[in-house]
Amino acid sequence: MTNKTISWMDQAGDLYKQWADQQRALFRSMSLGIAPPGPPGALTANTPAGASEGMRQAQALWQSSMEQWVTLAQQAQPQSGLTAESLKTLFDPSQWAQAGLGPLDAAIEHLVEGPSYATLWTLDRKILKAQKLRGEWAKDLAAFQLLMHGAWSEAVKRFFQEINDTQGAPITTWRELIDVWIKTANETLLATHRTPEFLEVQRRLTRSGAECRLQEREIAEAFCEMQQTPTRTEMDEVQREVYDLRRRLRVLERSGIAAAIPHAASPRAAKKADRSRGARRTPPNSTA
Amino acid sequence: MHSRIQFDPLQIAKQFADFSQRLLQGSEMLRSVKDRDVQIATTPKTEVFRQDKTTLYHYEPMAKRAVAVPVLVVYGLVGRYTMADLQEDRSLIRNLLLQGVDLYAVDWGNPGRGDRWLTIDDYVNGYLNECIEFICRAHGLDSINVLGICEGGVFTLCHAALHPEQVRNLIVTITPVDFHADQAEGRTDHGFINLWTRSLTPEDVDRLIEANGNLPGELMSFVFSTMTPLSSLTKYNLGLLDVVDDEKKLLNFLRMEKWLADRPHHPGEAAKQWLKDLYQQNKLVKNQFELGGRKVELANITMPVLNIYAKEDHIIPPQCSRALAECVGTDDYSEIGLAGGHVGVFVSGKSQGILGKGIVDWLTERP
Repeated sequence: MTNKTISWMDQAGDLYKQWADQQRALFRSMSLGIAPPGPPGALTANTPAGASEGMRQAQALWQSSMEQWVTLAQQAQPQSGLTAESLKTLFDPSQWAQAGLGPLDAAIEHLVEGPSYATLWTLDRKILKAQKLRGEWAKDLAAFQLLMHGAWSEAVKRFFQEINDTQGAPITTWRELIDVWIKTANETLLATHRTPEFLEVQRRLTRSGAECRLQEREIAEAFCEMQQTPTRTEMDEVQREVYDLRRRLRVLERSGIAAAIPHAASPRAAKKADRSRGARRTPPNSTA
Repeated sequence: MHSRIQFDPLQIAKQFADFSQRLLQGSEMLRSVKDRDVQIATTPKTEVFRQDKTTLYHYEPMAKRAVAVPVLVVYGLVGRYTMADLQEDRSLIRNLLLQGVDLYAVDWGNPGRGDRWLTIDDYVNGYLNECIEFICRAHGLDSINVLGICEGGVFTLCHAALHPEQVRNLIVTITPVDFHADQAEGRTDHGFINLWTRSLTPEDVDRLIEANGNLPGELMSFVFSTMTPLSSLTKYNLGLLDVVDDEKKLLNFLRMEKWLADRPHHPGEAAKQWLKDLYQQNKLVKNQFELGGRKVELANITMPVLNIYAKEDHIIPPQCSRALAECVGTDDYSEIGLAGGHVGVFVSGKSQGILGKGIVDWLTERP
């Protein structure tokens, strides 16, 4: 399976190279085709001087453009980052378990952080950005696990030191042994949790997790918009409106009560007023 | 190599037999226990007021009234108020009722994604204020007694500072005031939440809330479990094994699990204030915290104040709570330091008599 993939990659690379060579040949032939068929002197003899100068300028421009295209064709493949090697990595599941996306990082970074266009590739860029953030989160998770692995190793080391310390009381039951382990491991982990390294790794993990989730939401919302389905962001906006309206309603209600009851500051007076109205005041959304 | 381990093969065999027997008994007991057998917050009560997701409950009396002015219990948003009424013999609510207190409790409900815009201002000047006014009206009073727990204690401090005329006596329990005093005692097992929140940047907090719409209850559970790493990891094997053959202990364990599992999400905007303004910038103790366009000046708390803290509180270290003494504007300030941890103060067998009695005695002296 892997061999077939590599073969396909190589073939695609060869095809691309052939296409680039053909483009180069095409521009060369076009450039040559514009040149006058006879020697330069014939041109000067048979055409007006102004026309001859114009042809020369045009020829120079075509030559210059052709060279630029040749350069572009040579640069295009490596700049995209999508080399056969990097694509090969993408199709190799064993690479996925590793922290980050390795060689693909640069390619994704290049695509995500490049200039934006008004109508092109918006969703693709969102998906690529999510992939990039997922890679960053995986790196942070790996760093967190590595740090915790170190803490557990330290706990085990201390545990063996503890049970081999002949100055300590004898351990005669399995429960006593477990209690020694729990105490040692607890102290070691607590000490680790307070280190600046742990706090920073945990902070980064929390942050990259949040960024991942936000980016995934952007993708989900892009699909929602295609189907005219309300997005989370739109729901948040609606809920914000409802929240603001409720607050304003409460303010109005309270000011209305204050106006209706002469001594609203005194609950005794308010209660009396309630009784005189023959009903207990019930705020909106209330059951009482 | 010499080792402290001195296992006697016969003793080990006996221990293994004992272990197997307990495991067998325990598995039979676990099979017989149903979720309906594990009830919490069972003290009889009636819903008397509701606004949005906030519910005010009034408890049925259990003794002749000994404290004339009603008490409103205010829990925070990080957990549920049911912790104050975990089970019959471990219930602050029941202890207060049995000593003749007329008791109310506010339940903030389970905030969802749609509640992400609620701020602490909404809870303090909105819902809490409405509850207090309701009780005042119902009893024909100008002010009532308020008892805040943890984050609810911060809410009651803010409310008392902004509306001192509505609070007769203020009791705060396990309540943070100086959020940067966590290292005052230099204990490595205390104040991890303070360290964790200070390790985040304000932008980290914003993005976390933006991504989730709230501060997820699951995340807070994870942070709490990080504070006691091994007991969290051994809870369902070793911890459960310790209680599995004793029905009473097993049910206690399961009730606590039920409460822990019921950890609500913290509304997003309120969580930003909680983490950034209070935990990171420590605005409450500096009198810089603003609600509804007004600064919360703790010196405006002129009513009698009782501050109850837990000496072994690893979540709100004692010095974070005790800082209140220097901030309030009353001369009638008292403290009770109880043995036990953050939740243990409310649910441990040892503290049951002491906590409720301490509160009632203090209130009785301040009618």
